[in-house]
Amino acid sequence: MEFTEPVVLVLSSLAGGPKHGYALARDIESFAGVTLGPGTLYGAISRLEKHGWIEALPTDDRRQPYRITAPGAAALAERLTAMQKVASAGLSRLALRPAR
Amino acid sequence: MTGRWLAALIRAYPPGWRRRFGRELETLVEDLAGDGRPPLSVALNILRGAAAAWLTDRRTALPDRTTALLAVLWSWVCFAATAAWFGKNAGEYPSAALAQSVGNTHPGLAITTDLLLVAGIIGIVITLVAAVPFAVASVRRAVAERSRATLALIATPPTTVIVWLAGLKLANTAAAGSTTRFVAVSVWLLAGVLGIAASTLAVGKVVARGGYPDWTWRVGLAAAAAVTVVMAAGAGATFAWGLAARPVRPGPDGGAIGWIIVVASMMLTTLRAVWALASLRGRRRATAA
Repeated sequence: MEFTEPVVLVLSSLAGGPKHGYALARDIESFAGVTLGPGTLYGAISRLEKHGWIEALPTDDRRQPYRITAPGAAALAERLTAMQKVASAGLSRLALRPAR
Repeated sequence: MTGRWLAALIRAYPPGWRRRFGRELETLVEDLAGDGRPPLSVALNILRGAAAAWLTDRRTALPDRTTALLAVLWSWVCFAATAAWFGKNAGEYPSAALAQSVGNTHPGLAITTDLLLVAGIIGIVITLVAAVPFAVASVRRAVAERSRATLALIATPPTTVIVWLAGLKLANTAAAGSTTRFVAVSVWLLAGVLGIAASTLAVGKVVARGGYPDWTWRVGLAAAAAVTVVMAAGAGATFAWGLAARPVRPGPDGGAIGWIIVVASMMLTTLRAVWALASLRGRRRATAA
């Protein structure tokens, strides 16, 4: 599955505990400063559920909560580790760049 | 209020997707509207999400068996209404006596109208037979769940038929050829069309709740395929009727415009049914893959 930004953001948010759509949108806004539209958010949720990386929790509420699954957590950890490497390499190279 | 019209845009999503996520997305949109997000930006985001769902998610974009079955049902109802109207006119065309004499001169005309009539009867019989297992299962479930609303929906089609036939009998008691009778029958025919639409909606609502055994779906889909064949035969017969009737049609355009509208309507409804069944097949293949 393609690791788009919304996918990483949704998985990262759910890594902190189960949430419904609105709670996800608010959480992502608070920790990443990214405002996901409803279409984008549910596009990511539908893809993630299809791949078994998140699952819906039983509820009687209109708001459907989701939680991250073990394969989802493993995929997120792998992806964030790779991103961290890229981020570290990029930041260290920026620091080494000679001043103009 | 804003949340409501924004939520209406969710109808742009594929039916399968909507069935799974529609309610959740609607709740989210209403919550976000309450947060004061710019409505235009939210609207564009919903439409972009809908486009992505149609383009990328083949399995959810394609209809499931409920959607396919109901699409065929609606197509069949529209087709049957058109065919009934056309068949009645063709049988009396341009008068019952002339229709008979024209039928004697041009046997093709009589054969095509008979074929349309037979197709209609076969289609109705297939529909009624296929409806039985769905009705039995729905009644059982509604009784078990003590759902009066479902029972009312199930009772809608037979009640509509009884009330409509009784009303028609009453309308026909007015003096023959009188304005009162003409108005009463016309109004009642319109009421019949509304009744058919209401009954189809009621059936759709009941069937959409699902929970039927697999064999019931198999019966329903086999009936849908058979009805689609019947529709194709009926549309073909009507097309052939128009061609055969050309030499004997009175009037400047030979009544061709009405015939073209009828044939176009029949073909469109038939194609809609074919498309629904073909899409269901595509979905099954995509799911298997």
